[in-house]
Amino acid sequence: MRATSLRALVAGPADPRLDALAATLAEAGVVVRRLPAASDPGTVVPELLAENARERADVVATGLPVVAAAAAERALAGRVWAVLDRLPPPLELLRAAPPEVAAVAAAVRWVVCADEIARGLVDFRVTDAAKRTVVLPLDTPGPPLDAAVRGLLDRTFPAAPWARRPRPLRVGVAGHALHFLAAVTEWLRGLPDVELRIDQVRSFRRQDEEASRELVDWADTIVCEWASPVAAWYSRHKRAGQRLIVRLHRAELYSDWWHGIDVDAVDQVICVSQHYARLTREVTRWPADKIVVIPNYVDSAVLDRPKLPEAELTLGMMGVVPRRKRLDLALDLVERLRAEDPRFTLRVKSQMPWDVAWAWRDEGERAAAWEALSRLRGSPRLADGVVLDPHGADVGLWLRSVGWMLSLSDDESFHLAPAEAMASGAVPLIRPWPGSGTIYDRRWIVGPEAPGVDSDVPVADVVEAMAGLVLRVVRERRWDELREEARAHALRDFDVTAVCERFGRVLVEDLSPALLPEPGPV
Amino acid sequence: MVAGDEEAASWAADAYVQRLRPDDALAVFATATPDALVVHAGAGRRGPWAGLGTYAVPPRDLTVLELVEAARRRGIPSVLSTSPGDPATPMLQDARSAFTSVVAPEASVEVLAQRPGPGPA
Repeated sequence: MRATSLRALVAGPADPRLDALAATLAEAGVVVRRLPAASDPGTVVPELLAENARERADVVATGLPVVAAAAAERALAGRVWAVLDRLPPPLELLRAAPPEVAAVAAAVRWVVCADEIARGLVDFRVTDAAKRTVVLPLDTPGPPLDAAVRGLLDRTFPAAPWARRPRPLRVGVAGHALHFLAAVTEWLRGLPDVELRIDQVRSFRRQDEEASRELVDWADTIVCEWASPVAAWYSRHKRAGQRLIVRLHRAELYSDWWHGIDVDAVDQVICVSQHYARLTREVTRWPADKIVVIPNYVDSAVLDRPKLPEAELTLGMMGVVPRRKRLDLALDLVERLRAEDPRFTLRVKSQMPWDVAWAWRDEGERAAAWEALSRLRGSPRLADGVVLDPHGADVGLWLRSVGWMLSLSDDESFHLAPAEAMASGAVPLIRPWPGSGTIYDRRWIVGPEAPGVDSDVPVADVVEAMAGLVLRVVRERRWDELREEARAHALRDFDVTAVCERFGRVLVEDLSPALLPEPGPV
Repeated sequence: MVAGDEEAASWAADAYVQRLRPDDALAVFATATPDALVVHAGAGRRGPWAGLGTYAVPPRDLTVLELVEAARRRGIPSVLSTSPGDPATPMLQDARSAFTSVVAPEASVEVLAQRPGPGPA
């Protein structure tokens, strides 16, 4: 459900496409104020600020100087939709994006492109834009634009999962690294009945306790991202009745970070899966009824793009370091598939061990990489069947080519790649690593016979079962059917809107404990 | 050569062909001294260069642009080989002027005949 009372200020030079967008927003229920056509930031931005001061609004702006000036205003931060018009020709964009686009990308809410080609080129050239580009078909006003605008509004403004509050809920988010929560904090910042403050701790030893105390004095609910010494501090200093939520990742569980946390002061502990909820219970001995699950999120608005023709025959793998990700098994699989049909290809998007200092120091990591690369270039069947793509933020663009996503690790805490791929409309192929079945529906977990979740299935059998599945689905022309099911699963369980809804609830109420029966089929 | 199996095979009748792959094309090209760099417009139909020339897979397109630029700097002719049955490749069409020549795929003999002879001993 979408939040109500949305306002948009539409600004920029005279442009029928911008007028069409303004009209479409209005038809979708947004209160739109189209500022007089102007391209001079000195004229437009003061007017935007004045309007925004009267009543808070998102800014939909075109003309790069106006967009850049608006995005730089603190009062409008994170609420500017940059509509990219008059981009350079594609060949020029391929070589370099205009510096103004790079300058504004990190500060805007959305980078709006008119088509997939422009979007892909912007993603490719502007790292900060890659998780913010969307397509609104401005050249085809009518039903296509209307549907795209409504979808984007639903994504941008999911309603808060509570009834109207007598006063705004004051939420504090604390931790040393908050990027995993970026979409959630962005959503909270946009809710009309939430006030958000951040306590970004530079290091555990240099926590600004004065700032943290101010947060304690002010907030109704405090979320500690990481079960760390920061969370321990808040557990000792929170006010009586103040709600305290702690998110625990795999990294903390086997460290001593969580040891100082007074769990009696914590209302709920968030883990990303039931498997990790179980491990958390076993390792920490914290009360089971405090441990809840909220999965990691993916952003379908950014990832769900039209597939390219080769996707049906292209496997993808994201991240091959450390070696427990098992690139060797991916090579086994694509080699097996190419023996049947040489059109199959594997695309790997990853850093390599030489890009990661600790991995390059590790003899085992270096040896595994050497072996894989030697095999790649030494095997006629693999040489033209595997492409190593650069690591980078342009995952949505890359996934356009990928129809099947591999998750072959010996061990994972969540493994976001299958969820991202599912949101993009690809089919996941998941080895039954421990806990996989508590995150992903069993139908995506591939074993030799019936899905053997959490079982110790020989890897060769897993590879053979995956190859058989892929060949069968392609032969029976069922890939489209399967990927639609995967997309629906991702939207239901992992999309940022669904995850924000659960985060919103945990801010004000206790969620059901995690240690319940596992999820059923899609 | 940036090409699929069939195109590479057709040139191989007249020349020693070293096929380039997207992930190390620039590095391999830097270590070779070919008589020509040949890019076949149909290379993007499938395989490692899938999507080449469409702007939909920008890393592939940029790699080819950089190969052509590297060839120009080294004085190596760059040849865009096109045929009527090729998929649409707007990027390669936009970049035609960057190539030394644009030829039909059966023109390998003519292209190779124009290669520079051995330099002074």
